[in-house]
Amino acid sequence: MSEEAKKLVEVKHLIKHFPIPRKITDVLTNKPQKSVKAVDDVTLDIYSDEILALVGESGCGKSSFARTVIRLYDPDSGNIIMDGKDITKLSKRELRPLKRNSQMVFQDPYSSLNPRMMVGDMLKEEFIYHNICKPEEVDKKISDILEKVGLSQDAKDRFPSEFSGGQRQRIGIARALAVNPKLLIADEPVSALDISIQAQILNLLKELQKEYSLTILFISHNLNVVYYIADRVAVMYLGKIVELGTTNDIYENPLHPYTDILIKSSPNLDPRKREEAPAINGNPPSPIDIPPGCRFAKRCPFAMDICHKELPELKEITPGHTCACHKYS
Amino acid sequence: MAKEIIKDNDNLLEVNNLNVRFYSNGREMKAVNGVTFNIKKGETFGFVGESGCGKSTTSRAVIRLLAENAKVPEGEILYNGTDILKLSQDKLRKIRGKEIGMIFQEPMTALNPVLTIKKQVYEQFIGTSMTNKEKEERAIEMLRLVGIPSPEKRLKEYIHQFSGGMRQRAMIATTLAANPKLLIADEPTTALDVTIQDQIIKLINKIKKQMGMSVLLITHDLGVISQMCDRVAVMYAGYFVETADTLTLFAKPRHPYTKGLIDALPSTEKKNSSLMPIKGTTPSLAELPKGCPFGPRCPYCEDKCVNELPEMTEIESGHMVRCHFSYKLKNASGLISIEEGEQ
Repeated sequence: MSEEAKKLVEVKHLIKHFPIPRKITDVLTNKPQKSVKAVDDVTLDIYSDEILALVGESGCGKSSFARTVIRLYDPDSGNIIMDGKDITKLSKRELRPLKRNSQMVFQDPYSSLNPRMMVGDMLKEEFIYHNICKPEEVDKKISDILEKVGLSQDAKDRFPSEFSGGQRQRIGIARALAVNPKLLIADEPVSALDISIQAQILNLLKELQKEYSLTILFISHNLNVVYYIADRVAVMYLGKIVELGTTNDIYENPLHPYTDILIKSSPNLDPRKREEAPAINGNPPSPIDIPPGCRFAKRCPFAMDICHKELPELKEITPGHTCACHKYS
Repeated sequence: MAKEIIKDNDNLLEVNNLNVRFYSNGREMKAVNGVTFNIKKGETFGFVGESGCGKSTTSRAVIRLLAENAKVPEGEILYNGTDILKLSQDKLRKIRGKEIGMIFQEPMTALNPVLTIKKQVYEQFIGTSMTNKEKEERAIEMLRLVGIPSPEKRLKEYIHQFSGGMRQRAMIATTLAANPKLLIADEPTTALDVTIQDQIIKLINKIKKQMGMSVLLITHDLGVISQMCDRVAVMYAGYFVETADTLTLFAKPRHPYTKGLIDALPSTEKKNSSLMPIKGTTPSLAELPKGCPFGPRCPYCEDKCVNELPEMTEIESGHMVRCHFSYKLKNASGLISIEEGEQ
């Protein structure tokens, strides 16, 4: 990614905490309010025309981050600058015309489509709500988008239940792309699909990205999928980005011990390469009571004294490859 | 003859020409079609395939856990020489759980939420003459074996108090407490994160060795197969389409479907190559084609494939393929390469 590449989204020190309901006894005894620190001070740029993957284990805050960026959640603090405009504090009304700029594709193609709406009506709604075209052009537009995502024209008059998982994911993509967004957030779009269908959807996303010059924030826990599709990869652990770099950098030369462990835990496809011991023991700690220092320190094989006391900053180690680890200071 | 007897003794489980049909709304679904395989003592055998291919149904048929609308019109399931399909409920109960244990994808639904782990481990000891002290010792030993820290304390807890990976461990412990000879693991790591999946894979591998168990693994993930199985069967639309030892299957796939799966799989092993999806979708089990079930999606399909169902044919020792034209894939590349003579 060259330095001149245009930034589509700039996220600065974004924080999103979800408060946990307190028990009445806690309120009476004045215990402090606890919260899940889903996104904790994340700074990240997303460039135009790139596919940026966000990887990490469940609960690390990758979905919360994506949803906060497009203001599906309101951030606690920080700034989100989308296409040059600060959208952090915009009201719902001010946000509405901007919503077509960022669209989302979800993991579960079964629950993310309205079961009582025909596909044609679903798409029509998008065109009309966002004022994309004149009413008489809507039918033509629907035909175009169905063709783009590889669905037949009679899909218009059918309900989501009449489609298979892969086809439904195509409908989800058609719905998202109908309004010509600049940013597409794909939240685990292939995790629920079988291998042969997964490849179809991944290739479709790649093609559409080129054709529409889309910027895609691709959320996944599958490192093999990310390797195939992403230009850059950000690795998240407990609400923080611990490493960011080009796909090649991340896979060939992982800097953060956590990234290295993630890659090693992915089952190797060569049956001759079997290890007896797992790459890491234990579970990620709870995002509620986060100890000071590096969040990975407790499980890190290289942890030093400083790691338990001081939070490492995200630093550029080689051009375009940043990492938050005391090993490199 | 003598040789055959030794061979038979080697097989813990032998399934011959198993067929399973489901009936719903007056339609017949051919869920499992003519499946034949065996599992040797101490071996891990894997079923791999996409959703709806019959891999779970086959494994459930083995311990007769099929739904009421299912029928087994044909087949033989020999466990240590006795046909499970012919057993009375009483005798079946002595095999289920005790001889053949099963673990599932979702521990939260497989274990009882209102019983402590202890109670559920103890259920495995019903019918034994163990004293309470022995039961407790054994239960603690099991929890320790699967790597649950402070087992004395955790034994008294409920399943919802465990984290995802620990739940899976707790379920494995309850199943293994009865000391089964065969463990059926149905997508045991699918709901887990990669690092936890890695832990559970290594755990099952370790325990299998320690207890000398055989494992029947069901998964859709070729990576999990690669890390666990000695031999693999690829399933498609209720049929076995290819069986081989794991290395051969990954290095020299000979069925177009196996090859298709491998080409569609994104992997860090494949540098800069694009994914080749398999066109189309899986056929409905109610309307299977007359010929090869994979025919409509197969790049090598010819008239013969449309009209005639290919038989499972042994092309090399231990490598069976259900394809009329498997020779066309003779020099096809797999996911990995092996040297001549390396096995």
